[in-house]
Amino acid sequence: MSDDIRKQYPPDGNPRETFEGNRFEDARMQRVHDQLMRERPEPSENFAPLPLALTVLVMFLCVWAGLYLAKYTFEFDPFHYNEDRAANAVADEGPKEVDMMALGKRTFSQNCVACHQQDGQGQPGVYPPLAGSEWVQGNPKRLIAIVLHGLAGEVHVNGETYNNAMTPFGRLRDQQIAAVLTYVRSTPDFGNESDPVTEDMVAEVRDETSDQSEQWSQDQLDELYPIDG
Amino acid sequence: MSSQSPTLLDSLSPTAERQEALRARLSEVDRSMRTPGTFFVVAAVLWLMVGTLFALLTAIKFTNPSFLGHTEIFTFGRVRSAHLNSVIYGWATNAGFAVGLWIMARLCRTRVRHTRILMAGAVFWNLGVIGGIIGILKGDMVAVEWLEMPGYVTPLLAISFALIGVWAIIAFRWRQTDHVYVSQWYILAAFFWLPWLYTTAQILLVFEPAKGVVQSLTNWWFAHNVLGLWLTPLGLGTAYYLIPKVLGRPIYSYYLSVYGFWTLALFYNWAGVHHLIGGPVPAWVISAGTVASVMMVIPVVVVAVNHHMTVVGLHRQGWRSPTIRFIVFGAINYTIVSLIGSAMALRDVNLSTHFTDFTVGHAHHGLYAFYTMIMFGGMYYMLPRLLNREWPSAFLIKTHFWMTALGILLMVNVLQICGWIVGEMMNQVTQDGTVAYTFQQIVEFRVPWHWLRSVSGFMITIGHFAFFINVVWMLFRPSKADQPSQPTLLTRPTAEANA
Amino acid sequence: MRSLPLLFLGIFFTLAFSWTGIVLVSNVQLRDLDPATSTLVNDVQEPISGVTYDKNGAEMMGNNMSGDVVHPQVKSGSALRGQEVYEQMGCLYCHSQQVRRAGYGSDIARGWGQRQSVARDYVLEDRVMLGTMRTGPDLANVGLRYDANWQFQHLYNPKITSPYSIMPPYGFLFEKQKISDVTGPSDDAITLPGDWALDEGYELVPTQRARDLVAYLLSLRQDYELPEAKFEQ
Repeated sequence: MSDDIRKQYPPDGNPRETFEGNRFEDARMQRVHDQLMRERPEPSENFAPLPLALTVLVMFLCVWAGLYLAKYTFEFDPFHYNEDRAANAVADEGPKEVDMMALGKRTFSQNCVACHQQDGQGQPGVYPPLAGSEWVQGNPKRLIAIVLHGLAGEVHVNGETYNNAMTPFGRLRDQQIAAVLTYVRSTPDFGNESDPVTEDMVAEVRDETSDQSEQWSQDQLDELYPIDG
Repeated sequence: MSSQSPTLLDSLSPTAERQEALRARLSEVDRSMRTPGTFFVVAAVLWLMVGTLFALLTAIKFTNPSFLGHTEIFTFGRVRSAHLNSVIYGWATNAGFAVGLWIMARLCRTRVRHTRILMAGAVFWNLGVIGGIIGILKGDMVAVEWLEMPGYVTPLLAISFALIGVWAIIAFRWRQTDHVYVSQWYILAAFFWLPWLYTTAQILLVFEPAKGVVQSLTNWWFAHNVLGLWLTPLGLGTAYYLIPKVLGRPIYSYYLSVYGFWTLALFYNWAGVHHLIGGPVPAWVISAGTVASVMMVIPVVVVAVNHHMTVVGLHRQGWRSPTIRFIVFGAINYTIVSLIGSAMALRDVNLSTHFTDFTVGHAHHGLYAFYTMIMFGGMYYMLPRLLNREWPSAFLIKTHFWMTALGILLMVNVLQICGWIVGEMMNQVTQDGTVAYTFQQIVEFRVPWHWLRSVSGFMITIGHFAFFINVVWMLFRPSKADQPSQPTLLTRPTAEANA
Repeated sequence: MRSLPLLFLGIFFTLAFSWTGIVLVSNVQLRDLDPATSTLVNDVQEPISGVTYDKNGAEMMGNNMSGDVVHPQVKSGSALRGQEVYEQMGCLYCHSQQVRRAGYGSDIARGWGQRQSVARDYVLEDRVMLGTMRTGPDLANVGLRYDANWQFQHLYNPKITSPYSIMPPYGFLFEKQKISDVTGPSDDAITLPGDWALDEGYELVPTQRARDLVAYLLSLRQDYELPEAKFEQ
């Protein structure tokens, strides 16, 4: 701010303008213009130059923008979605050793927790528990069949009656089903201690039940795959 | 230096002919804007109350989801859209029409000649918005964010916008001044940009929907630009006019004004695609949006410096004036919200903020703490001049200020802190590849924050009622014709007056 | 700045810049995207992965494998009507429909999808609702996670399936009616578990809109691979 402007508009905020009331004696006239009369002049501009720091900031940002665009525009390729990778193709690292409990836990948290809950307790009266359940710790084939094709109607678990339905998960791979059931049957989180389920068992049941087009009822299961079977 | 800049002579000898002629001219301008300006303000305030009501309903639904849950028209998705559309196209746009057109007319020294055409536009615009809100509630909603109003009100809105917007162009074309002030660029540009955005969005999203994610890109190009190229220029134009006007001190630097305007024009309109970061759109579009969003730091800092250097040293004076109090609050928040916005566009930051309340908080920060507060300030200045009346109650203005200012600060903080924590909880993956927090844990975490948010909304509602009462009181109070009036100030006035 | 035409040109070109970049160019780039098979083959029917380059360095997408199914697929009529219900209810405001890639967020770890969503997944949608908020879970693959029964219960009152839920109930999409003495219980009556069961002699049936909405929800599934998007394992 230049010095003469500072004098003209002192920081104490009292500009030297006493226009109000000097000119018009007529009270009505003054009334009409009251608000206008006490206004300050229409706004105007000074011409302070750009601060140097700002220029430096702008230059810095421009350089950054250039580098960012150079790195992340990928020649405007419409099929490039992932700014982290050179190409979208998933690198093929060959077969890996799979930790069935880890895969099982992952599969469980992706597909099962919404109803059976993290702790495997289910919801009273709505979704049966997995923790301590005789169904889970009994015949593994029965479990595989349920996961593949779902379950509907009245079921009796640990002495409680549930009347609901379970979504089929036949879309999961055999390995995922084997893993999730191994996890459910033996995780200390639920206090279950039963044998693991293998991929071959899943494949076998998938084959045996390939004609099943609807969700199971308990009667059907009791007949085909009894709990103690 | 332009002819309108006050010279030493002007302030020492205020009865100089030029000032006198100018004031006579401004008086004519104010009178010609009296009917349409008042109409826009009243419409805006009514929409503000309607929008607040919808906001309260949504807030209640967050903590009590079955509230009014048996009625289809009051289901959450519709009430939320009704809230958004009534505050954007009802409140914010009407307020922008009122203050923006008035400032444009004043700076151009041109009065509105055919008020009836403007009034017709004003009435039809509001009928269009009413139709749109009813359409949303009864289920004709277009499921595109910020464009929910059904296609059948589009022609009405488009024509009435043309009838209103043309006055900004006419005023500018036949301006009586040599110099073009920065507010004029902003307002002129805003009235030009919105129809373009709206037309493109309507064609590509409602009438001839584009294929696939081009819809989403168009959607966010439009929606972000309604804020960036329509409301922001109106808000900045208002601040640029009223800060020097009320404080009686010229804007710090013309160069900064020019620089800030053109960088905003260049960068803001690319920024919208940051709403799609991580989504199914090609990486290069996102990168361009990210860069533009970060480059927005330039206009924001430029405007902040320009405003700050103009206000500096006049704080007491500003605190006294309702106008300046609201506008400075808005201008400070413009700087903060824009810098946060730039940060949010970075992929690493967006990872936590995307899909959470952080974005909601950010939207309210920009639309309320910046734009709405500036419009309140503009109305506190404009309305006494249009109506030749003073604000009836300083107490109500103070209530309005404190409730809305504290309310919105609480709301923004609550939403952004909650949003950030939720974002962190959502993204945390443990070593064995499972998520650290189930969705249930996240929903349960949010509950107390929803209550806090309702409290902040309640505070803002009180502020709005104070404003509403003051406006209605002002409109209907008997005028005391023979007494010279005093401006309504918020602290004890000293010798000079600056409402 | 005194000249209206000059100011106007500036105002015009700044917006024209982003309009061209975001709206026009993306339209040109993506408008020819069509459903595709999971792998692509070159002219001599050898599989190629994703985008490859011919000997001149030009980009080449290859051809669909003959005899293979292309994805995404057209939705059924009921699902299309259901999409309108989804739009009218404003589901978009709390549910996104996009899966972010593994390593960016936890979408895949959460079981919301097996791979990142890409532009091709949406080419057949009348209304693309990617969403910007996840008050509720992502729905890009919700058709894989739950069956119709779960969806009906959850829409009728989300607290049946998820007691902590803050989703509003959509009871108005259902009808409570007396079980007919002549024909017995309706085929499509919904079982309500536990304490939610209706009074003896009454049943809950979904309206046509509820059935359409559920058909739409069940159609939401990105369970196929595309040349540019393979499953994460």
